[in-house]
Amino acid sequence: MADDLPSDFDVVVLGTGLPESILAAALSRVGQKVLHIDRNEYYSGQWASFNLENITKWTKEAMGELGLEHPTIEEDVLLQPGETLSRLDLSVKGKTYFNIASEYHVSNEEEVLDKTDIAKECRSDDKMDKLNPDQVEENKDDNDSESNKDTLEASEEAQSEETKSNTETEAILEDKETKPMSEHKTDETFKKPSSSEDSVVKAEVTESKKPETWTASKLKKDWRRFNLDLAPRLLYCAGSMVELLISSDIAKYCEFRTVTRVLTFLNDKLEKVPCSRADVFSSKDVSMLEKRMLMKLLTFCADYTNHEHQYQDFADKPFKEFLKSQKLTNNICHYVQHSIAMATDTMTTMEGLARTKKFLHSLGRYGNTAFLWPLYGSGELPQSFCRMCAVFGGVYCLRTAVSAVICGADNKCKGVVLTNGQRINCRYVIMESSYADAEDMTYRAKRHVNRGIFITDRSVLPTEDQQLSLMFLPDPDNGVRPTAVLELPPSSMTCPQGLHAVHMTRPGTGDVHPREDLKIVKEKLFDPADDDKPNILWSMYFSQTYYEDLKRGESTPDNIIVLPGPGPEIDLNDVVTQTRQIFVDIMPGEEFLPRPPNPEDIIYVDENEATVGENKQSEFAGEESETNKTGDQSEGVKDTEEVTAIQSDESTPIKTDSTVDQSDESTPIKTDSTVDQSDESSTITADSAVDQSNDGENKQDISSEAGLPLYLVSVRDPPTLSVSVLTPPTPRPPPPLTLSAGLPLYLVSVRDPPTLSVSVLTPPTPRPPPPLTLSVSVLTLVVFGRLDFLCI
Amino acid sequence: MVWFEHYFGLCIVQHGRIKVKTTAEQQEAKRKEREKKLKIYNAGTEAVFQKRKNKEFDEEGLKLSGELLGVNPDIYSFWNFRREIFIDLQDKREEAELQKLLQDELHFLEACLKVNPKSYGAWHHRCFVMDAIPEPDWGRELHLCNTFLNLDERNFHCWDYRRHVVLRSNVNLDEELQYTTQKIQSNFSNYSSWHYRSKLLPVIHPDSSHPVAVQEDVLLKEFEVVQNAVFTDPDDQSAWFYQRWLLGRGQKKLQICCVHVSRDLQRIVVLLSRPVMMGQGHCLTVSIDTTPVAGKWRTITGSRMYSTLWVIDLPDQSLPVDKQASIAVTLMDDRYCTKFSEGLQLMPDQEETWAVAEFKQGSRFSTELSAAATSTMAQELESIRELQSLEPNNKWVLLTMIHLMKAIDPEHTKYAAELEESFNKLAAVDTMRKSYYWDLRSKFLIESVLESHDSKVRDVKLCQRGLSCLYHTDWMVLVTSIDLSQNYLKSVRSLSDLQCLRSLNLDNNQLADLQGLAFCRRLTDLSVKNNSICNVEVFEELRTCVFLKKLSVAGNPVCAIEDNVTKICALNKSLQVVDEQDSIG
Repeated sequence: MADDLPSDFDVVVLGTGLPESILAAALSRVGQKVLHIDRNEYYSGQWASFNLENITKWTKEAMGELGLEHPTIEEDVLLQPGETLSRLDLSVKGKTYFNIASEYHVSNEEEVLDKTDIAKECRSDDKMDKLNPDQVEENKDDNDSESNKDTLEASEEAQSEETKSNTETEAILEDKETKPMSEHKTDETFKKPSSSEDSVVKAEVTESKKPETWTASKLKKDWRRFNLDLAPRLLYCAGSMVELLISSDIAKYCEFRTVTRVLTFLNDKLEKVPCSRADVFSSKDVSMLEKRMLMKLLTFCADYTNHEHQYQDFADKPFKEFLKSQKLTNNICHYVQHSIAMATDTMTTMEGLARTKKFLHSLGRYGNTAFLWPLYGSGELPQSFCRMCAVFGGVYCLRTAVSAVICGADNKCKGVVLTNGQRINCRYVIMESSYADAEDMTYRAKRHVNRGIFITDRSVLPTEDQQLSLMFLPDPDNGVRPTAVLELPPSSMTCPQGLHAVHMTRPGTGDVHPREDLKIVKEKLFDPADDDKPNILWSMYFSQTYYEDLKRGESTPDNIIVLPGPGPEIDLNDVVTQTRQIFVDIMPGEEFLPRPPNPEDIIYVDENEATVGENKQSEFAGEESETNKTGDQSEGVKDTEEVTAIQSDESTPIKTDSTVDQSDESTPIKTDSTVDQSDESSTITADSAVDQSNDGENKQDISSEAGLPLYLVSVRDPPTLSVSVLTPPTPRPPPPLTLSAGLPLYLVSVRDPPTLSVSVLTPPTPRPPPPLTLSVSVLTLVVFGRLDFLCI
Repeated sequence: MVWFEHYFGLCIVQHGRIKVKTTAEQQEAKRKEREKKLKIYNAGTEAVFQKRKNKEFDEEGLKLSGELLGVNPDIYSFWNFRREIFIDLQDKREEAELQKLLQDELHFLEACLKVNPKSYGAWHHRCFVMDAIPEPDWGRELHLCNTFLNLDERNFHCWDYRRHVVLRSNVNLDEELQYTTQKIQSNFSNYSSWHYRSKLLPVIHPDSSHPVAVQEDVLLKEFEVVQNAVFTDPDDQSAWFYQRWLLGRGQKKLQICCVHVSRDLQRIVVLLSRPVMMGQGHCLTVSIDTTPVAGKWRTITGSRMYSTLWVIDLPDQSLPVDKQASIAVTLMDDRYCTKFSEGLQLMPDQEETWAVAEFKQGSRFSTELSAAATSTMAQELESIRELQSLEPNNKWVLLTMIHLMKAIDPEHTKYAAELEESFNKLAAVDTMRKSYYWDLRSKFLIESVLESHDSKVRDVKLCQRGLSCLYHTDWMVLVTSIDLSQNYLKSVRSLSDLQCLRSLNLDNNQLADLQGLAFCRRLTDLSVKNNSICNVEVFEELRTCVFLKKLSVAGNPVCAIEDNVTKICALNKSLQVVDEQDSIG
């Protein structure tokens, strides 16, 4: 298959996790030839988001059941004199993930009825997903047997759980089992008398009418509406990730929703933490005086560096003590330490203040919230960067890994051997830690995080609107291992209507299984005996290894870079800092992910003549080619080079199909990321012969002004914002040459076609005449389509 | 967007870099485009103006002006033109056709408002269109307001329009109040929203006996909302302003407060409870012994302004010395057709006579804060004090405390010391507005002095009070003697109100001129020692004060001028000028 891959690249990146993808995009952006590969058939690696079906599949992968094999390498053929070959360990078993366990907490009673439906659905989806008819067959069989197995396993697991005297599960199971087919009737009779009692009960009834009774088969039926994260992460609204997304214009590939509330347990009651000015104002949980205290403290924290005298005595003492010294009430201390600073008991005042400041400075940018959540899951972010990488010529190959690294006599990496046996020459190899051999890494500590994913039937604190909640619950024991809880409603595009996806992350310790480690928090939030608390329908636990201060091994060539996987942090600032540093080391003097140029400013090259700009109308063509001629000498020279470079394209089988492109924008085409596609792309990029001999002098031009980012626009400036966003995109003539199926990036997505996103992604369609009308419905669409995360 | 991303892949030419236009090329391209656009724009503008001039009210006019307004919705002349077209079409077209036309106009307006959501012209035109359309859909308009206010919650144009919509349609006002609550909760720094509340509350919870016309229990809840806001952020003005409204600034009832008749000057001066403009909705009539007197009412200075003091010069011999006269003054209010009348007698031997309306103690000036019950204000003061203990240097807290203390205790007995302290602190923490605070303090002091006086007292002492400014001089219309020495006065312009003034002490102030005293025609004794009067011409002002007998000018720079006394004496034959310090009693 990948015999067609070009054999020379500047950089080979292994793993499509977030740091790898950022680096791939940044390097590709400044003209490096990047080969980006991933051993999986999906993007994002340890950062991936999966639907319910695929996460089961992932379980097998993580346990090492499905893996890549070493190719037969003929060393004499591949190696040049003086070069040595060191094989990498391709197995993944136990390397990153362990303690994996998942189970359904609801019975499967309708399974017999629905089984055929599920199978049918799987089949039809597969047909849609796979291009290769052979593969469809294979996978279909696979899936059929898998789904059978899965359901069996699940029920078996549930059974064994039950016998393990897991009272919760028992309770739920019994509860469900006592309500056989006639559940609706019993529900009705139960609800009717109570609804007349009072309004409170009424509210509960309407609430409970929606979710009805969930069964495992019902969940499975909706499998594609789930996007469950392996490493759920938030973005500080003013954090470096948001800045990077805006400055690099990658924001246009992502959509976000705000985290609408921060919750905490105060005196065993779950309540909303007043974080922003508006929260403090409207909070009924704090007294007038507390409001002033809290605001005063927050105002100080937001500007603490200018008031050193206020904290210098506590600089190295715990933040907790500093807060105690500030004559605050216990509630205020709790809010600030645990929910705003998200600080452990041992964290120093300096660190606590810095964290508080970071939180506060993120407020107000996209509403009364400090955090953004990437719609469809955190796994979308690495893909956005991959997309930018590919736009600038990066080549993607999934289900491929590096089997061996080739080192020269000077202990420099000269290239790699892919799992298909091909040798790739490169100057740098960037790999995520799970791709590397143990001796290629040094680190301060090897740790793990315990993760829990739960699907629940309602919010922990239901309100009229859907709420995206963050909870940071302190460690009950010694305060060093807090648990971060993220509750995602359906509007976050991670679960179907009526359900919530709850993620728990806690730094692991010793051999404690995540099930035990997260038990206290779980029982606090979900109590099957308590009717007001959500029921768990499905759960999954796993532990994930991460390394602190990961660096390359001492004997490892210095042009190999090893990147760590996701740690226990809840935000992404650390990833940006780290990747930016690595980029600066590799490409000193180059800009890190500058904004791509405006399409209007790109000089396009036709087969026959070089013209400036996209205007292909004859009147302009003459004018502008003239400008070109009168331009300086070097410009002209470059143009001719372009022509030769592009002309070689003619020999390659490029499909010019702009219709597919356009539809990409309006309808989400789900074409699975299969290897054959990346093959095609590689062919093309390879043929668009990159002239390496000439140093690019146009760098400064590329970074010149460009359009406003579409999605991440600050609300601080509403008039400008609405104007820029509401202006319909000016229609552009189609480009002279277009690739369609060429680059995989548009078609590749781990997530399934989200029907909801269709409306969201649809650009404002040009209205038929009369030309002056624009109805409110369009306005709303534009407003909510583009800015929906701003005004929840 | 998508296609060009693909294309990037092919544009890669030089060492993997995309070739882009140079800045010069970009500018040139942009310049050309701009030139082209300008030509079209100018031609279009000309065409529209021509059409309007020719009164061509047709669809072409709509189309042409529409294209230009779509680009720049702020050309108000074009909106006017469009309105003229629609008014013209209203009679010519079928209703269904008109409906369609105006419906399109609404869609068009939406497009314009997207270009500039704060276009005065566009919002105004929308009001017109909605009033002109045969079948208005107000619900849709409300939805439009919601959308625009979601984008910018402080767009007052949209708030204005929202009130227009609510006024025209049967929107549930409770829901509107709920909407303002919601907006305030998401950001309480929203003047428009607070203001809307102040308009809604008197309608939803009316109480006509209350000065702000809102039920007291509702007001109490509002106070709580405001407290939440000011405790959250005491530096935010919006909530404080709303609180000021809650505490009320009741409109005073219009009435005649004082009538003064002077026999020798042949005139009547009338003091009203609030400034009005004679002839504009109000008119005063006077009759002597039931005979109406012809004459024109004027202000003291003769300027055409709103005033509380109105003067009528009586015809000669209207008040013969040997006859008793019965004088009645009537105030007519056009709008409410009510009459206020004051009658009084002038005895044969009397030089002057007057009548003063009776006022409840302490009710004359406390209009700043008067609505809420005293208990409510005391409660409010308590919580603001609590806030002050946390925020000792916040100007809004201090200022509110001052207003509350003044409202609770108009005569300055209970809180005199605290008030003084608060004013000092305010001037210290907010030096930029120091003078404002001193003026406010002067006002309060004058009010307290006037409140404590019986209205018949004609001798007022305001010496050594630190006054920086004079207030309520209209209420001193009867005063014959006033001591304003040892203050910080820079102007005595408002002393013109003191129509009976005979003796005036302005020693030790900072006066550089005496403007205003020209109207104190009864003045006999004036002392302006130790001021900053530099030249003799200043005293020209006193030429009309024909009764002036004694003028003390010592301690002014003017004393250094040669012949100053002679020059000043030239004003008035009987004038005695004293320019020596020791001769002062």
